[in-house]
Amino acid sequence: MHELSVAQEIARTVLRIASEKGAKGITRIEVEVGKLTFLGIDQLRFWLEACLEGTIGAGSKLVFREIDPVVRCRTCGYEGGIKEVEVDPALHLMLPSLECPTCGSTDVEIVSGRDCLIRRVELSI
Amino acid sequence: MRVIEGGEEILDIELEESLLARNRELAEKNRKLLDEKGVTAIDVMGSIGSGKTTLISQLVRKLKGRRSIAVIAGDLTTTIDADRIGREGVQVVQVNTGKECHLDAHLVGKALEEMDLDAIDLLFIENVGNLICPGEFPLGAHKRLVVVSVTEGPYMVVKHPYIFLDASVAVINKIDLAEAMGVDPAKLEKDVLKINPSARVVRTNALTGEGVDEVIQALEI
Ligand SMILES: Nc1nc2c(ncn2[C@@H]2O[C@H](COP(=O)(O)OP(=O)(O)O)[C@@H](O)[C@H]2O)c(=O)[nH]1
Ligand SMILES: [Mg+2]
Ligand SMILES: [Zn+2]
Repeated sequence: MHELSVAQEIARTVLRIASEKGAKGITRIEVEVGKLTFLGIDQLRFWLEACLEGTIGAGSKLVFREIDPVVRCRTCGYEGGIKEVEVDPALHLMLPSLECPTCGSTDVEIVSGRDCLIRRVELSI
Repeated sequence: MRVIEGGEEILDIELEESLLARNRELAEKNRKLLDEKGVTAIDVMGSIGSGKTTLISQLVRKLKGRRSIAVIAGDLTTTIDADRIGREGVQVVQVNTGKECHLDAHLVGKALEEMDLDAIDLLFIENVGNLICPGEFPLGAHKRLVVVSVTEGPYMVVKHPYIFLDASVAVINKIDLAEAMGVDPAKLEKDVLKINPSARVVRTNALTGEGVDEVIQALEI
């Protein structure tokens, strides 16, 4: 539901950069979305297209990449993918779990996977 | 920012512009202010009707003898919850988000400016009723409490796993209705602990106050 405000922020940012560079158009925007965020890529795309309509960013290629979460264990030093657990075999559903995949410690922190970043803007000058 | 000249007419700019960083920075600012003033803040999240306001009222009732409490009541447009909690005789600040689906650190920062933080040592923040968006926007609170009720059905936790990653305490509310709903609170508890094994899970009936002492213990307040 908050994809609109994030899309508005993306549009504002790229349009500011484009105007700083004196660009005639924006041809490509690349955005990274962490899998632990609450952002849906389809909705982000929909709203970003809407926000760019009528601007020099209209029609630019929008590329969204999902970023896998990385966690770090404070007990054994493991750093890597988050553990996934099956909650209910009948549901065939894997959920992220804050348990260390190697030592089982619960003293685990999330290092990445909860951010949303603009990674690249391609401008036509 | 690295600028790469790609061909004659295309300017390719690499950047690392975080869209969530601004909220995080403001949340850190809120936290610093709360720490300076010696105030412990609890962000209370959960769907509409899960029992957030009822639970906060009970917590306030039990704690107001020994803690100085204030409440920030987030809501889209109404002051209903603020009025309900206000009856407990504590400072309540209403934050209307308009059409936004969550409180953010900026709105809470404005509310903190309006409050007499020297007069309190405990702050409850009732987030907007929604189990998705508030998770994206830390407010600067010390702990996050997530309220789910058995009336939301048996899949509430597995459908919203991410919100529980940050929860210090999860409350399974309306246990008086568990049987009628055919929902097993133990299953909901197990689901929370699978996702976040260090969370504390407490079952409550916020109407009668059952389990509220355990919530206080779990929050260490
Ligand atoms: N039976 C029962 N009803 C509850 C319980 N907790 C809250 N309620 C009722 O559920 C409704 C919604 O509660 P409220 O605190 O306003 O939920 P909020 O939207 O999360 O703030 C109200 O009618 C409450 O009286 C409970 O533990 N058991
Ligand atoms: Mg409420
Ligand atoms: Zn480990």
